[in-house]
Amino acid sequence: MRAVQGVLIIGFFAYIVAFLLLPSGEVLFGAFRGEHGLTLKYVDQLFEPRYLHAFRNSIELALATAILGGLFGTVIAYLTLSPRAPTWLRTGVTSFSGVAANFAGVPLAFAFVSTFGTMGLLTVWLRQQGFNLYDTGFSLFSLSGLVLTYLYFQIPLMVIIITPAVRGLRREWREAASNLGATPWQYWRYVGLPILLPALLASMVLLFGNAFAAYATPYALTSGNIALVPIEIGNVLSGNVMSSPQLGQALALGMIGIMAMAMLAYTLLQRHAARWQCR
Amino acid sequence: MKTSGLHIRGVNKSFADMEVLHSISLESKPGEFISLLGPSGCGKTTLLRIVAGFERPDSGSILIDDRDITLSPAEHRNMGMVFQAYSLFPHLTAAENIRFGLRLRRTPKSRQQSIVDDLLALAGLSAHRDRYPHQLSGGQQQRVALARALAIQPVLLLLDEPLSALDAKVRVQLREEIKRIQRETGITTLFVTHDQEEALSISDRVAVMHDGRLVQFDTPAKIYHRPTDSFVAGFIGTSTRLEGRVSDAHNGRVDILGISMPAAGVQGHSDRARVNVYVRPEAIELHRADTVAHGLEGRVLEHTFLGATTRVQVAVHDCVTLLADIQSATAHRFPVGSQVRAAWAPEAPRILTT
Amino acid sequence: MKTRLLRIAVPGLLLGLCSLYFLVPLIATGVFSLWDGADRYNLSAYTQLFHDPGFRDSLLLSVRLAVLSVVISLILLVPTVYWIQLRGKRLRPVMEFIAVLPFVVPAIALVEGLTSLYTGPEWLVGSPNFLIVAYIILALPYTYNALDVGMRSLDIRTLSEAAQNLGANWPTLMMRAILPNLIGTLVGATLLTFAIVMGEFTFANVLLFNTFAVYINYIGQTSGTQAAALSLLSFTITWLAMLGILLTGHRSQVQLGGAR
Repeated sequence: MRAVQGVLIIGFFAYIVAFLLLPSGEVLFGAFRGEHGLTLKYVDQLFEPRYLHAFRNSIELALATAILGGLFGTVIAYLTLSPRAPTWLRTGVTSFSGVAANFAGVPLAFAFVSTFGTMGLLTVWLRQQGFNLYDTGFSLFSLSGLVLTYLYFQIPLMVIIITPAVRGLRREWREAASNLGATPWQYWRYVGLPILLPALLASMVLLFGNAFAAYATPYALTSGNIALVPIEIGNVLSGNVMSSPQLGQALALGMIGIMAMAMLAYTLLQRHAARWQCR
Repeated sequence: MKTSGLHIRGVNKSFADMEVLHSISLESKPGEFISLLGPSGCGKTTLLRIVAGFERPDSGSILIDDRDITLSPAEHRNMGMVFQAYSLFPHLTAAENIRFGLRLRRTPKSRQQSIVDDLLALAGLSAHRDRYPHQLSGGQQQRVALARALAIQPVLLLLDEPLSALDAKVRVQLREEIKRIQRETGITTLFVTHDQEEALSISDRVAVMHDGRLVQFDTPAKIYHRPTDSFVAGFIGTSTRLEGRVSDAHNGRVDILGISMPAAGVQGHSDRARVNVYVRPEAIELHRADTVAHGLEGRVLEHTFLGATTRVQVAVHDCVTLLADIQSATAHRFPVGSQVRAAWAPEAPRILTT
Repeated sequence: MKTRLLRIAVPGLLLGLCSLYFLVPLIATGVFSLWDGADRYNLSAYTQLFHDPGFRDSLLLSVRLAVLSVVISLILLVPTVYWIQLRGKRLRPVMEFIAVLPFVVPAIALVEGLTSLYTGPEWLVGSPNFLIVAYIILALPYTYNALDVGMRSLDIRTLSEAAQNLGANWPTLMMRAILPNLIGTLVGATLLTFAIVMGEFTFANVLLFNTFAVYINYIGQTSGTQAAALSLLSFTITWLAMLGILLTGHRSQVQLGGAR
């Protein structure tokens, strides 16, 4: 019976090597593989305007939703955790965040089409009130629409991951500060925010990665028409654009590079945030 | 340093339906060290938080030097507070923590520096000025918290069980230091504790609280020897409570379990009145039953060796257990099981009506 | 008095606006799914879906893939995590690195690597079962984390030593002592994997398999009301899965899902 256990453990690691490590390696090295040995040709292509544009769009989108989602998520977490807030609000927000953070991709895209699309219920209703949403320059199928849609999973995710840090703000700190003469604003400026900052940044980095890697939501929303890195990779893969597979791998390489940096930043910030907690 | 008087006037406070403070009134002299002592849940911390401005009383008022501050927010009160634990700002060093209140007050930089240096020296922490709170021991953290509270030259120093999270040895040491620093600075101090030894050893006056009421407010010696309330008599120190009936108020005699015993305290009570008689173990003398004829007769149940003294439990009439502290050297004269008589001086027992 | 009013009003207004943002799309989707042109409202979108064989096939395919992914990943992970808790403490950083990798190598990048590395055999690569391979990787961080936290809180070492002192052998130990105590954790991991797979779009779309999410996207090109109905159904599935996790008391497991 120990043998079965051994086989399963070896099986697990073999599985990881075969279906996670080798494919990742394939992407990393495939990008440099030309017809005659190694080449930088495909990596160079990343700097063509079309792909630079995709990277810029992706980064802008991820940054905007990380910052907005981070701010709203933190404020919601803070308000619902305050002792003045009723218990039903707290449980309600926690449970809903769990669901909404996982409600993404195609269904989310269509929920937003039903609401904010050109024929969406809210758009139509606003038009009847004499306000044309699409005259403001907003379009659900542009970057602004993507930001609006992404926030639907980014904010709840922020609520979930920042909650432990917000809960870690001790009442004594607030009271000690006010005792020493700090107004509520000064408390936040000199105590609350500086203490939260590492956790706040770490969470936002996670949100950044989360948005940067999103494929299903923008694909369903824009049918692959907006230039984002994951969309471009998908286009190469499914043969929608004429290009060599190595280009797809080069794009994936760039993406992994950015995700790896995000993860590294996250780990370092987390460690920084945990520094004060050890006692 | 200028010192201020605190005046608490008729403060009431309820949370939901629970009355936690019932018309508390208390007045301090400038520079006095006052302890609020009581079991947990007696309302002492709530009272301190009302003085600090974290809670608002339902009625009554708080005055500092006859100025009513009941409605002014905590940040305008200029009081220094030390919390139970973990109140230091974790992202600031010891020196920066102490400087915090001065920075808010825009005290000139050079003056900030000298105040911080002085306080670090006063708290014996000059070597640790650049340490972060998580690098300091619990006792050191509380010293920094004390220095931080003193830096703003508060009108009042509020201490909310600042020693309760420390281990026994550090607790006693820091207690002495708090007393010394308070004496040197002369700041009026309100100290909340549930530890009577702490309260009695450190305070000028002790306010004993019970169930939201102030039951006795007096010097430590009076609280210990002359409790005016049955709760205080039972709560402070160790004593044996005996039920008795005044037999001769004029001559100070009380009947306990059918024996007439001396009790100067019954003067003023009416004859035949039922009273509670409280006797401290150190006030009781034991005699072998066959050597004397007066006193309460009983059987020795147990010895507990306490060092210089030995605590003897005596069962009187098999219904009351009397505690008596005797010199350990004489303990062998009263072996377990032997018959003894317990006696006391007329001034020793404390008499309270039932 | 004025500031006290502000202290209640401002947070209230803020939370109110946020809840509008989160509730309006759900309500609009619900209303939209009932719309049948002009001002007619009925269940026709739902009845049409039920009569579409594509709906049933895609839903069943996703359920089948989800169940298989859950079963295989648990078979692979439970003994491994157990062994690491007991003996392989040194391997823990390795496991943590592995568990972070699916985040660093996003689905779209992983599918890139998988397709160029494996072009056969046809029975695997050509069938939807190939998706299971990827879904196990996708769910790995959540499953690992859930099992790790669950087993750590159980103090596996004491439990297994106690059982072995009583003479239990390995399978008995696993079945009688470890697994029953892990039920809550296992249910949480299962439901999370299930929810992820039911909503997964990236792999299936690129590899051209007709799973539930791909079907929703396909319907969305032709009928907005039916797509709204399907979105609502999908939300309900996620909601039920998360509710299950909350009920088994593993709140902390509710985290980033896989289907972005």
